[in-house]
Amino acid sequence: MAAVMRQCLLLLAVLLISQPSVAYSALTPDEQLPDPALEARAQALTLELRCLVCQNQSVIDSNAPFATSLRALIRQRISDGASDDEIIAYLRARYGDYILFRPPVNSLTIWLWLSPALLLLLGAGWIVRLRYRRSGG
Amino acid sequence: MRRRLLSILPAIILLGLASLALWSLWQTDATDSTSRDIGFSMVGQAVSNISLPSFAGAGDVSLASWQGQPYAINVFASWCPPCRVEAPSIAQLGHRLPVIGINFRDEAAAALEFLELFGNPYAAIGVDDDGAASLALGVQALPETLIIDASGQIIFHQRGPIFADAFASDGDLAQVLAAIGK
Repeated sequence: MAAVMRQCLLLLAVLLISQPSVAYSALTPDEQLPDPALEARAQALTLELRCLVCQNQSVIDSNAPFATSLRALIRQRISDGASDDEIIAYLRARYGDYILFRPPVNSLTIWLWLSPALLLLLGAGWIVRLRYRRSGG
Repeated sequence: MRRRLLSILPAIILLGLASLALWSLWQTDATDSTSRDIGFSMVGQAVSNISLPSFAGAGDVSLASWQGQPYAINVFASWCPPCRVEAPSIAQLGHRLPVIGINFRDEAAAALEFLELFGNPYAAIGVDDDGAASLALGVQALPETLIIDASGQIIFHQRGPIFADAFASDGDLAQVLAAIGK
């Protein structure tokens, strides 16, 4: 029984480890820029942007017309000499912070950023307290 | 007693957070079940100066040439089913003010067939093959409709189809049209 259990756990571990770390990309070769440095910038940018019509995909993963258009626009603007910040500002003016996978820290998003740390602290405090009680009595 | 309370405190907090999350999910569902609103529209911004090749074949369609009067922009494609659904509403809008069509990533023959089937309510149609002009207007999915006032400011932005009830006296579109005297 224990052996079966161990094998199941091993299988689970292997499955978890073998999850692809790089997401599927919908990027086709003819979309890409000839300059590898500029193309790397374009890919980094598209990974940071949410495909708004396919919400848990990034702009690089999606085949939606919105994402395809956005990939073309980003490459056009990079070729025209725009900086990453300029391109992000252009898109934020049109789609808001929601298009960014990493929203900026402001009064609206502060709890979004702080809550994991707060919950972690709370949990750690609780564990420390329990252990102290158990050992000290 | 105090000790027991402490030991179930994390469970209570977790339950509280979970119910808060559920509650907010239910809230958004109740307010907009049909709209694909991302909580951000182009209303209040100046319309980008866009120029596109004309669908009719001769010259360009430039938004600058409509400046100085209220007009609407409707982004559509033949491959977009909701665009078919909203065709009667766009026809109705076309009776109130000029509607500029932007044909988004479409094939000319298919678009022509679409216009023959559902009518052509557009004062002019620009062809947006790569989608860049639509992105400049803040378009994310089809159809989208914007209304621009005489000063070039966007005063209405609908993501998703316009239904007949938008024209009823308490409809959002009707109120915008009334405000500009259309």
